[in-house]
Order: sequence, then C-alpha cells, then structure tokens
Amino acid sequence: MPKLAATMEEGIISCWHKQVGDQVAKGEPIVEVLTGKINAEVESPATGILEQIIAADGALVPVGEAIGVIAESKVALQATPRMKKLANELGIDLAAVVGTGPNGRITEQDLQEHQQEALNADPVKATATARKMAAAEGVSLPGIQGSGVSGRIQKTDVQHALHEETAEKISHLVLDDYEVLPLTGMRKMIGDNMAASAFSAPHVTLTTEVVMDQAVQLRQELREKYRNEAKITFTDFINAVVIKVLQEMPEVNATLEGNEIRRWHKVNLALAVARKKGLIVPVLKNAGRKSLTEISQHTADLVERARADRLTLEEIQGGTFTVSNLGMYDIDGFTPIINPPQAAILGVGRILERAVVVEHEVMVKPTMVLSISFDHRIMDGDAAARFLKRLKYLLENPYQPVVE
Amino acid sequence: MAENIVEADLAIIGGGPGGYVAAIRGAQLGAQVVLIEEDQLGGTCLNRGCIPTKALLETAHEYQKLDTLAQRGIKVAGKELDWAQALAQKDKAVKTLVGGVGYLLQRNQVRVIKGHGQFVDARTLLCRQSDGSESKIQAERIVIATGSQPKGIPVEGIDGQRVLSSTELLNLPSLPQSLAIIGGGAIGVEFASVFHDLGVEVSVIEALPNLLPTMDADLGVFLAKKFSKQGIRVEVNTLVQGLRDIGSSEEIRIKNKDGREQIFQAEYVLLAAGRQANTAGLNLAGIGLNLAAGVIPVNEYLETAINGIYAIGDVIGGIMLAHVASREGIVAVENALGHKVKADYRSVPACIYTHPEIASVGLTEVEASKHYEIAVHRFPFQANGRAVAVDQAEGFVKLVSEQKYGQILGIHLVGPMVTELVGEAGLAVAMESTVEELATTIHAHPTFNEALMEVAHAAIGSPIHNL
Repeated sequence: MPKLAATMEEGIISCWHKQVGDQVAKGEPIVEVLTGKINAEVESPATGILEQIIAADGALVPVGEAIGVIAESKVALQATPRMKKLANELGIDLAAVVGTGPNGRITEQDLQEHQQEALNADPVKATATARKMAAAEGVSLPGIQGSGVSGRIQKTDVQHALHEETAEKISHLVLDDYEVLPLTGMRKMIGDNMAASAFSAPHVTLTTEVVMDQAVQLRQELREKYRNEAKITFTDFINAVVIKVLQEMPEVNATLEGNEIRRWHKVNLALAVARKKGLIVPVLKNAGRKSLTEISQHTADLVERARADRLTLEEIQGGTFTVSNLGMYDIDGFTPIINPPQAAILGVGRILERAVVVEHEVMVKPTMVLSISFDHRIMDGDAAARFLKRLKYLLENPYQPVVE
Repeated sequence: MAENIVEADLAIIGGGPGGYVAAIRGAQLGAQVVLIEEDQLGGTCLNRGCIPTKALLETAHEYQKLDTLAQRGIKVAGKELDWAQALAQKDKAVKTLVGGVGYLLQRNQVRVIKGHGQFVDARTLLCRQSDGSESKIQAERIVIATGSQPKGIPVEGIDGQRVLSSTELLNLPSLPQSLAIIGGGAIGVEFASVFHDLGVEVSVIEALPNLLPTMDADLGVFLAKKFSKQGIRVEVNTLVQGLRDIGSSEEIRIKNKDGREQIFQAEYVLLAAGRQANTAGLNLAGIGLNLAAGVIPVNEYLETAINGIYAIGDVIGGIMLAHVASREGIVAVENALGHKVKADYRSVPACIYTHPEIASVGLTEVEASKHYEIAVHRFPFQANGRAVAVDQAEGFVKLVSEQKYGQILGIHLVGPMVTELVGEAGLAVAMESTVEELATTIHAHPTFNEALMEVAHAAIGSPIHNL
C-alpha cells in the first residue's frame, strides 16, 4: 500500500484494473486506492506480470503492506522484428510498452504514444537526497511543496512532511483541563471552506413552518408500498419534493463560478452527512431522473459509503443545491451556511406535533421548520421565498402533484 | 552650511561587496537607490583584502616558482624583486576593479554619495562629506553594510609602531626581513604564504590547536606541515604574552599551552586575530538599535529589530566573507522591496590562497558527525593525472557524506587550483547531491577536478585510481 498523502496511514482497495496474469507496464495505473478523501490511481512500480493479488477489492490495508505481487516479465515480448528495431532506434524499452494489437502485440502507434507520454511527463523536481529519503520513508513526493529554487523539493521538505504526520499523531494531547487537537486535515478543510463561504457570499436566511400531516401519511403509504425495494425515510421523501421544485426553478438550482451564474438543467442534490471525522457532502447525481425508490437506494448507498470513507472524488463534486437535515437531532430550525459554489442550501428541522391554527381553531398537527440560506449575489429574496413557498405547498399538499 | 535633502526608496550605508551588490540589486528591482561610502567603492575586499592580496600572492608565487624551473630544464639567471613595481601592479588591479564597480553603479542609476553616514531617525540618514557639506537622505528602507576592521587583542605593546594591520603591511615601502603574524586564520596564513614566497622570514602564532581553526581540521594540519617544510615557523596552541619595540625590530614573547615561553624577534608584526564589526559613528543607540556581542542582530530575513532597517555582511557577524556579504545584500534588498527570501548558509565556500590552495564548502567532519551518521573519504592528488603531470601532486580531497542516503555534506580540499574546484563542490552541497551523482557525472580528463569524481567513487566503494 503506497503512501499517497503525508497523513495517509491506510487505504482501501477500490478496484483492481488488472487481473492476475495480466501484463503490466511500469507507470501504468493498475489499482485504485481510496484514502480518507479521494480515490487515487496507483501506478505499477515495475513492468511484468501481475502474479498475485493479495488485497482484494474493498480490503483495508495499512501503508507499506503488500497488496499484490508483480513478477518481472521473462516471457517473450509480443513485438515484430520491425517494432523491435524501431523501439531500438527511438531508445524505448519495449518491456515498458503496453501492446494494444492482437494478443497484446506492440504496434507502431503504441510506440509513438509511449514516447509522447514520456515527453509529456512532468517529473517532480526534487534533490537526490530528498528522493532517497522519500523512497526510504514511504513519502510521496508529488504531494509535497518544494522550498528550493524553482520549487525543488529538498530534504527539509520531506522531513517536514514526515514531521507533520508524526505531529498529528502526537499532538492529540489530553491535558488536565482540556484536550488539544490540531486544526489539520479534514477539520481544517471544512473550516476553510465554511469560512470562505461565510465571508464571501452574502447570506440571507428565510424560514417557514410546514404542516406535515398529509406528508406524514403519504410517506407512510409509500414506505409500505416500496418496502421490498427501499426504506423510504422522511429525508428521502422531502428530498424528492425538493428535487421537483429545483427542476421547476433553475434560478435556485444554480452555482456561481467566476463571473458566471450557472443555472443547471440537471439537479445534482448534495446531501450533508455527519461523520465522526468530519462533515462530508456526497452528491446524488442527476436526481431529477430518479424515482423515489432510486433516490432512497442511492442515498442510502452514498451515506453508508460516506461513513466508511469510501466515496470517490467525483461523488463529492458537482452539487447544485445542498440539503442539510438535522431533524434526527431534535433541532427545530437553523441557519445553514451555503456550500460553495452553490447558490443556496436548505436546512430541514424535526417534525414535531405542534399547535396549529386551522380555521380559527387550535389543532395539534405535525409540523416542520424549513430554512433556506441563499447567496444574495446570485439571486434575490423573492426567488428564495417563492422556492420555499412552493416547497411548503407541495409538502402540505403532497397528493397534488398527481393531478397537476 | 549647505544642506540638501535626498529622497530615495532604498539607502545603503557602505559600498563594499555587500553594499554595492545590494545597491545594484535594488536598482534592478526598480528602486531609487542611494549608496553612501566614505572611502573607496569596493570596501575592504577590493581595496585592502581579497583583491590586493591575490595580486601580491601571484607575484610572490611567480617569484618563488623561478627556483623550481631548473628541474623543467629552464635556466634562469638572476632573480630580483622590484617591490614598488609589485605594489604598482596590485594598485592597478585594484583601481580597475574599483572603477568597474563605480561604472556598474552609475549604469544602474545608483546615486553614490561620498561621506560618512549616520542615523538621524529610523528613516533618515545624515551624510557628512569631506568638504564639510551635509546631505540628509530620507529612505523607507535602509541597509547597513559598514563591514569590519581588524580586531585588536589585549596584549601589552599591541599599539606599537611595528604592529601593523593587513592594510598597512600591503603598503610598506620595502619588504621587511622578517614578519611575525598573530593569528593563523585565513588572513594570517595567506600573508604568511605571500611573504615567505617573497623571501621574508615568517612566523605564525595561533592560539587554537590548528591553523585555519574554523575549517576542517585536516586542512590546518596539512598546512602546518607544509609551512614547516617550507621554513615558516608555526606555533599553534600559543598565546602572545607581550610585544616590545627594541628599535630595529619587535620582540615577541609567546607562551604555549604547556607553559613553555619563548622570545623571538621580527621586523614587523601583523595583527590578524579576527575582525570586528564597524558599528561606531552610525548613531545606532540614537535610534534604539542595540548590538549583541558587538554585532547588529538580524532575523533570517536580515531585518534588524527596527522595521525597515536591514543589516548585512561583516557588521552582522556570522561568516565574514565577501561572497556571503554579497548574497546577504541581495537577500536583504529583495526582502526590503517586498519579497520574502531567507539567507541560506548551507553552501558557503571558503577559499585560502596559499600554495597549495585550500578550499572547503559545507560541514566539517566534526560538525557533520554531531548531526549525522557520516562517512569520510579522501582522494590524494598524487593519484591525479594532471597534478602529477604539472608537478603539483600534493594535497587531497576529503568528502564528508551522510551514510543512509549518501548526501554530500561537506567537501574539503587542499591542492592545485582547489579554490576553483570548490565551485562544483558547492553546487553539489547546495543541490543536496548524493555521492552517486557526483561519481556518475563524467569529469574531463586530465583535470584537477577529476579528484572530486574519484573521491565520490571512493564513497560508493569503488575508487578507480586509488586502492
């Protein structure tokens, strides 16, 4: 298991691109590894045959332990004498070329592409000592910021990366009066993101109360109906209605990127998921095309993998609108911070039996507080208010869409 | 009294190798620069140090070489030294280079004001010119580059007429018969070499156990042996007890660490026991800038305790070398003009122009062993083709490397032209090169610098031309 980031201690095998017996070339991506935040492709350290896969897909492996065995190739290379001659002229090691012809035969195009790739490769600049130290200590050079001339990575930079890692381990101090945790990694990333959003996007939060009696009833019916396919939660139900309103109102389903306001045709619904190690926001892609059961199934899968640290980078990118639901924590209502570059975020409170006035009479009904925070650079209050009003209407009259 | 006010972005006090380089760098970065110099541009280095001594060293070496030509089949009849002409050649070289500095400053539009500069406040300098006129210079950023001067030692008789500084010695009207040098550092041993080669009877007195005490010990040990063989008297572990002018010469009383006292005589005594920062007359106390151990303290960006005032070169102590001052001048000015650069002293070459030459860069064996598991390898110039061919096969290259990664930590050389070879060694240290890299780089044959490749081969376990 290679060390892909300074703080990486273990990684999960996401998937092998190669099977046992496959020919692999040095530098060719052979396996995908999931670290705390991202999915990374791991390149083959050598040319040869993948002889054994030690850690299968899904396995959690500490850094430094073997995940597979590559046997250096002794078999005859699949190349015609003409290709061998050409490779010789171009100074290419045929063993490093992956053949795409019949039976893995190396073609002239393979040679040309290989040479182009070699030319395009941007080698990491590092001193010889830094390289040796990084190799010996299992530190990945591309992740390190070089302090030397033209950004060359020096020994101290590698030491610093190593030290940071140790510091993170040891600086979790429990003192008599308090506990010290470093503001690093995930915590720092979230903090920086939230601060950037709070200080650059002018936030306005609108709040409304929704009577949920009909929604509660409909959700109950739907849950029974689809019980074999999915476990439809209130969150799924509310999300489905949110998705519908977003499709109607692209001015809310928007992002601000540079000087462009982008109103998205697709709804990519971002879902805030709490985890011990920090908030993560996986994205339900193209949610407008999904049925309620699909929404429910995919959400469950995303949440489960978010908690297991097994999301890909792609799965946490590209959101167009975020929903943050704190109902399960008995929160009535709150003012969420926008997840940039998105235009708005919906905060969902708990559903609680409250006193409601219906036709001059006080009645007890389940209600829920919704709040929307929006970026006033992207839209005005009326758009957010109309969004909230429409959402409230559909939740209070959930049977309505059928006849609309 | 005529007083005019000059405004500038950057003012530099002192036009030595630190100050003038700083001024040019400032101008390159677009600043309006004023440079204050009370004497000649080029400072100690150009006028009283590095350059004039190199001129005389060459004269001395050529003169001494005449004695060795017979073995090459060259017969020389008559050998005579015209000391006045030797000084004239030296002065001409100095004048050329000083003129060159003036020209560079002029072409870079640096305004040079001749006179003595001192602080009025943290943004204002007062410059008194020799004709009595005064200028006030107002600058947002000021760099102090006032250099150093020879340091006295607390010894009876040190103020005597026959006790000279290097500057005075360089301008003696005639060569002395004998010379005693107090201090076996870079300046002391170079003067010993020059005057010995010119036929003067020379003694060197060093308080510490080795000549060149700040360098790798092997170098000083080698040089002491070489000096003794040449007929230079070397007294290490020895303190000067007293000096006395006895009319035609000076009587020198010394005592070594075993308590043995000796008295001997020399026509002149050269005081070369270190240098002290030039901080007097700047009114540093007036602006609240305090000294620490006699030098101006600075941070790693070379800024003093007062915002906007920087100090560089000998006046901040540290490694008192012209090339260090120049680098510091560039670093300070870049920081003064909005960059953020640290002074990096990992690869500072030091060169001693004796015969044979001595040079080093990086950590000494002792320094390195405090921080690393080290390996030490040597390669002798006796095994270097060119050195043998030109009959200069003496000395060695010593390589100090770190064991685990093979990082080159220090290279120490004594031998032919090693002051030029040290450039490559310096690059290797600065680039954190490993012994493998140095060994596998093809070096031209026959050159002296093959010795660097050879010592690296030794470090990776396989010297080709040595056993």
